[in-house]
Amino acid sequence: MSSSLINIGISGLRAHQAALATTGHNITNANSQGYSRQRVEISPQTPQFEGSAFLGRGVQLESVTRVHSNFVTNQVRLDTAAFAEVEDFLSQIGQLDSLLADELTGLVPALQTFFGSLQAASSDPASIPARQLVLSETTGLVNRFNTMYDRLHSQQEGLSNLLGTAAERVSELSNGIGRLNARIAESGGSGGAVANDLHDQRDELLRQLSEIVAVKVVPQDDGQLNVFIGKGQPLIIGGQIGNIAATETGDITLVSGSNREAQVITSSISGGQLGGLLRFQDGVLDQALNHLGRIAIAVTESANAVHRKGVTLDGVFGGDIFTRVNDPTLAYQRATPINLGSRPSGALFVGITDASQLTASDYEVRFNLSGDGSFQLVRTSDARVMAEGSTAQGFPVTVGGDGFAVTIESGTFRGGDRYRISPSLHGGRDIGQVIQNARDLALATPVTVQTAIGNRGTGIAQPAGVFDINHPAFASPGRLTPPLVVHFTSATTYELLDNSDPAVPRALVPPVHNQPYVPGIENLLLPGGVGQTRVGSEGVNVGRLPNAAQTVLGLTAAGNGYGSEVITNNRRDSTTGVVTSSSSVVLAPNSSARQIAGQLSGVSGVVATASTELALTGIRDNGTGVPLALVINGVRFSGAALSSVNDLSDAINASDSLAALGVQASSDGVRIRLSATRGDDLVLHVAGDPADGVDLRDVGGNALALNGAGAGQSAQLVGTVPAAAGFDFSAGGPYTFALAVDGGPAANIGLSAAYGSGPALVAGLQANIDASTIGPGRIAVSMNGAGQVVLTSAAAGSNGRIDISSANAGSPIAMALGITNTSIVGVDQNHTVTVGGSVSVRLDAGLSVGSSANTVGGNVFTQTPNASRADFGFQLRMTGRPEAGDRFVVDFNSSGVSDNRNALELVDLQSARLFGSEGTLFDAYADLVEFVGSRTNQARIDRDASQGLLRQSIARRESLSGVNLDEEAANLIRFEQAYNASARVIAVARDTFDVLFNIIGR
Amino acid sequence: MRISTSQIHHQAISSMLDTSRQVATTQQQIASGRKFATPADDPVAASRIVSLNQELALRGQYQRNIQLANSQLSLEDAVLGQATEVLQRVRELALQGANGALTANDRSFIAKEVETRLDELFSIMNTRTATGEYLFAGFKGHTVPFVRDDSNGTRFQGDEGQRRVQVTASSQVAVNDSGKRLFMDIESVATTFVMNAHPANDARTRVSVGQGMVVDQEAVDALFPDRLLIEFNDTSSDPLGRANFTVRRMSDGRIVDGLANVVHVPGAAIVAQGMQFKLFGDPSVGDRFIMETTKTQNVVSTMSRLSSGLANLSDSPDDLRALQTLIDTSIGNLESAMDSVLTVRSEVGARLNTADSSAILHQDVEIVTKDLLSQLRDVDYAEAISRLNLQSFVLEAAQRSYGRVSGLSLFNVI
Repeated sequence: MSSSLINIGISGLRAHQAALATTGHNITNANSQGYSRQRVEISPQTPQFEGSAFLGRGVQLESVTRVHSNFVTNQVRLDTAAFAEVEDFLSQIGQLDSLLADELTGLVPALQTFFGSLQAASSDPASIPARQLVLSETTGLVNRFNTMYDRLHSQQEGLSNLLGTAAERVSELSNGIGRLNARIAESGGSGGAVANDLHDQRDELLRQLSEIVAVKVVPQDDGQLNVFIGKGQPLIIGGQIGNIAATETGDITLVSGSNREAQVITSSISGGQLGGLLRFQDGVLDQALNHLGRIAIAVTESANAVHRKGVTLDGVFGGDIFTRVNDPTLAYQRATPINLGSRPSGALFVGITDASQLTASDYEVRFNLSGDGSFQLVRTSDARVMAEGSTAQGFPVTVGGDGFAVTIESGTFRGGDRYRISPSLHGGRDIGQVIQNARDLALATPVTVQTAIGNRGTGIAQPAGVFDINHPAFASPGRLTPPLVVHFTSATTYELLDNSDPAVPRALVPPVHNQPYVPGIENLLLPGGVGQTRVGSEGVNVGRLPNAAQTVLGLTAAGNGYGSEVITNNRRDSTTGVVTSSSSVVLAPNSSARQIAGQLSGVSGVVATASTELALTGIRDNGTGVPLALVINGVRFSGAALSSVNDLSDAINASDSLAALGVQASSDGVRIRLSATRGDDLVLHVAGDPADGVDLRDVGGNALALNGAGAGQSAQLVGTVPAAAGFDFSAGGPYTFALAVDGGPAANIGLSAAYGSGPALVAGLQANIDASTIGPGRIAVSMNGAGQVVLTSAAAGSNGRIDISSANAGSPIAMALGITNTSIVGVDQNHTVTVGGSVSVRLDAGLSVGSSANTVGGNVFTQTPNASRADFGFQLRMTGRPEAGDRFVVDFNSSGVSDNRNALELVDLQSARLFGSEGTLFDAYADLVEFVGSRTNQARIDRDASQGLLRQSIARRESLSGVNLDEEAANLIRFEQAYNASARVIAVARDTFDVLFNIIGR
Repeated sequence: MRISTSQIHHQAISSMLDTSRQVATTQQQIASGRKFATPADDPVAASRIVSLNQELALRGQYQRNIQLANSQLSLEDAVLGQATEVLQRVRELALQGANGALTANDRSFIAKEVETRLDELFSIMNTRTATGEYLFAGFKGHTVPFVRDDSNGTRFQGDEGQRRVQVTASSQVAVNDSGKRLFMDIESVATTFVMNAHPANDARTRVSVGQGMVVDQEAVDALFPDRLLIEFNDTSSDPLGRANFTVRRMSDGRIVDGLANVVHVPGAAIVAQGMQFKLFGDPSVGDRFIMETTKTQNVVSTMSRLSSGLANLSDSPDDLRALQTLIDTSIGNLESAMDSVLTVRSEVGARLNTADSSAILHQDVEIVTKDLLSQLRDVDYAEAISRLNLQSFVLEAAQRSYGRVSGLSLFNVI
């Protein structure tokens, strides 16, 4: 009995000793990190059956447990990871935020002083100090961009260090957890007792790990914990520890478990310090750099473009202010290989095409896994495929993105190769100053317009912008080629003339005549805009007099001899480059140039103008018989009007009906220049005796090719034999050409021999002609003093007409044997000739024309007419009311030192919407400030929220597992009392024993 | 709920930290006078402040531009005032010269004064600004705009450029006027002409052109606006191999009646289409001169013709009649010149007004913008200080209560 009571007392002593020890353990660990309070579980020992009842056997120590909840611990881990992520993100973005906040370190003051200096220079463009100030402020602006880039970039470098440290810390903690895992597994073997403090230590390490990266914890049966990070990547499996590292490029790699290969897990990492740093690096820092770079590129591009159009103090075009954005060294740096390993990278040229379209995103060129050379250009921000291409067809291959183009120039590419394309990432670093001399600042406009002293009207003409300084007009420095004069032929029409020789302004090639001017509104004087081309009618029939068939007897005109022709309009799509034939225009035979122009102008994007020009000279009247009379487009001139070319010219200009047709004449005393300004045919009829007539020339004074001659006249064909050909027709011959006399059947005359001399050729040709169906005595062959072969028809009793209808090369005149041209043949007695005009076609960008070029009767256009630029490289605008005879002289602005017009254009850039709908430079910078500011603000809210959550879950854990010293004090008292009581039980047991001994002892 | 001991301390400390952070923020706001320290405190306001600051900077630039325009225009106004005085004086002199009681000798004194006044006008026409640019040279600020020219009185070497200065976002004010408009393109009573040597003329053989005059007004009127071209031909065109020239109409190249292969006699008066001119010197083949008809006459030509008439015309009845005609046309031309100067002067005044009103506009907008900026950026002191009081009170309370709570422990009593 008493022994059992002693045993009971002893059990109580033991149990409460343990309880007191645990309480002491709790009290001493009240401030230990991650400590969970422990509690002693005691219970009655198994009772013993004694006859009729179970007798208690005292107390026993069940276990020492820690008061803790896995759920709460896990919650603390989650909240810790969330809070640490936001906290670290915030500390990084906070630095950026304060960088942008400071009015002295921001970009705005630098931009403002830069434009301010330009304003000052524009107010006083000749002042060297004012120009020098622009240069200094340019340096200031460039430095500011560079400094801001450096600050952001150094943050990037600091970030890499932080990532490295964090990765090392992950490894340390993982190793600690692994060791604890092992010890817990070992200790777990001995009878189910749990090593509470080891668990607490492990939980604390896991909590610390959560501060660095979010983890997922899965328990094993043996008490070990498996730890996963990111999207299930194993960090700790039992005792196997993965190794995390940060690469130089800011990526995180994991080497884990069985698979010993480093795996990039950057994108799957979330939470903790690593998550926060990575989120800042990819979501904010790169974007901020891109924002900054975009502004730098826009400043560079726009300022350079305006500046290059201006003229310096020394009268030459300005160069660049800033380093060109497509400088090759910069363009190649915009592409960096991502995963090539040690293989050499290809050459990718990333050129900026439109600064206003640039975005803050990065891009990637991704080669398809198939390895066939095809690739995609992908925008990283939203994974959109911008363009596709393939290198299978060879290099270079160009694809376009948002305001840039990637040209793959060379390289060996495998399937899966990737390149990061950062069009604007380094813009803030790449901006540099080129201009060094204050005199080189181009503040003036290259073109000036002066009104002539004799002007009567109120018209004022001004330059309206230069859009292409590479135009031939600006080819020679300091000069306009050619200088122009705008000459008003009436109050509403003007012509543009080449003013190279102010004494004799000449027509431009092609001529620009008869341009409409509308008084009262602003007129743009120079035809032709950017990309427009000009095509002239240049078929075999144009600029020649019609064939003999059109030189008909009688007053009835037979048409100008222009053939039927189909003109097709081709449109080239600017993006795809595909040319489609859209519409076609069918020209009827003998259409006048005016009709042709009208038809062509009906096509969208086509403006055609026409004019007909002709020169008359050598008015002949034999003075007897029927007097000479000329009928020009139905108006008859005779008598005094024909006494000199001056008189005829005055008479033509005095005719109202000709004026209504737009027919004008001018005479220099030798030749009359006759022009139909709207392109009507000029119909000329000669009445008189056989010797009466008039000679025709083109406006340059050259003989016109007219086949056939008047009746009763002898006619001559003169063909030049080129010196190179000599008189040898044996090679490639026989050379045949068809000759006909007086409209008779054509005879083929062939030349195939080699003639030793001119006379031998004459004799040979004469023999050939005489032997042909033409017969002898009809055509006399001779050679004139210029070494030309002359065919003369017999005059008497015949029409005296010689036709060359064809040659074996297909051309009636340009024969291979060298007869290249025939001389003028006049129009005379009772003959009418109809002369067609030329057409000048202006085509919008992307348009071209083709012709069916029907050889029957000759063509107006060649099959693929030569297209030349229609624009002048600059534009003029004019207002006011000019009068006929007013002139405006357009020339290069040399020594225009006080001209500030280009400076004003530069100044305008500060309020120009360089980013389209996103606004000005300042708006773009405000965007950047707002972007960083709002993200910082958001991060603060997130931080406060996650801090609240973390505090709550810590409070819950503390509430559950934390040590309350008051409680422990009470426990001390309680357990002490129980201990004392148990001791008392032993004393009682001893007492009872003593009582028994005493009884026995007595 | 169970509370652990460390929790009691932890909570108290973190709430004190929170409160003291708030106190610090408020204190910083009060000290800096700004509502926020970084854009993150109010991102929208921050980006608006960027825009408003830019607006203020722009307005500042415009106001500086206006100051500059004002000084330049005031100078021009003063100079034009002087020019008007000179022209008025010359007009008075011309009227004096018309006085029939005067002898040729008397008139020569008047002519002297006209010459002096002409010199004065010349210096006015070639005025330079404070920065050394010629005021009336257009864009060619470093080129002397007016030089003496025997045949035409003066030659204008500047251009018609008009410099503009931005005074508001949408408007510019011209700050100069070309001397061509002011002193050259002055409407004349009758059509007259100007002789210009072709720029490509042989520089070695200087051929000068004497003062031209109109002898047949109708012929000149008929020619206008066409021009004549004088061109020296190859000497072989003359039977004796002498220098000879031909006069053509420029529009169509027609030879003016009787003026083909005219033999060059230096100083001989030649009349072409009613215009008399003289050629001096030794011409080269290909030298060309352009006779430009015009309805304008420059003021220097008007004055020098007047002075040479006053100085040279004798008291013979013929000369007196010619003098009368000369004085009549001169007065007409001088009045046109004064009109021209006055027109420009009134434009200058209008531009000064525009500049002034723009300046007032800028000042008004500046006040509004600054006000807006202040609303966005500046702290409300009354509110901030009362907030600081509340926050510091809360902090103090937290500190005191912590002291009390932390002292409580069961161990103190057992």
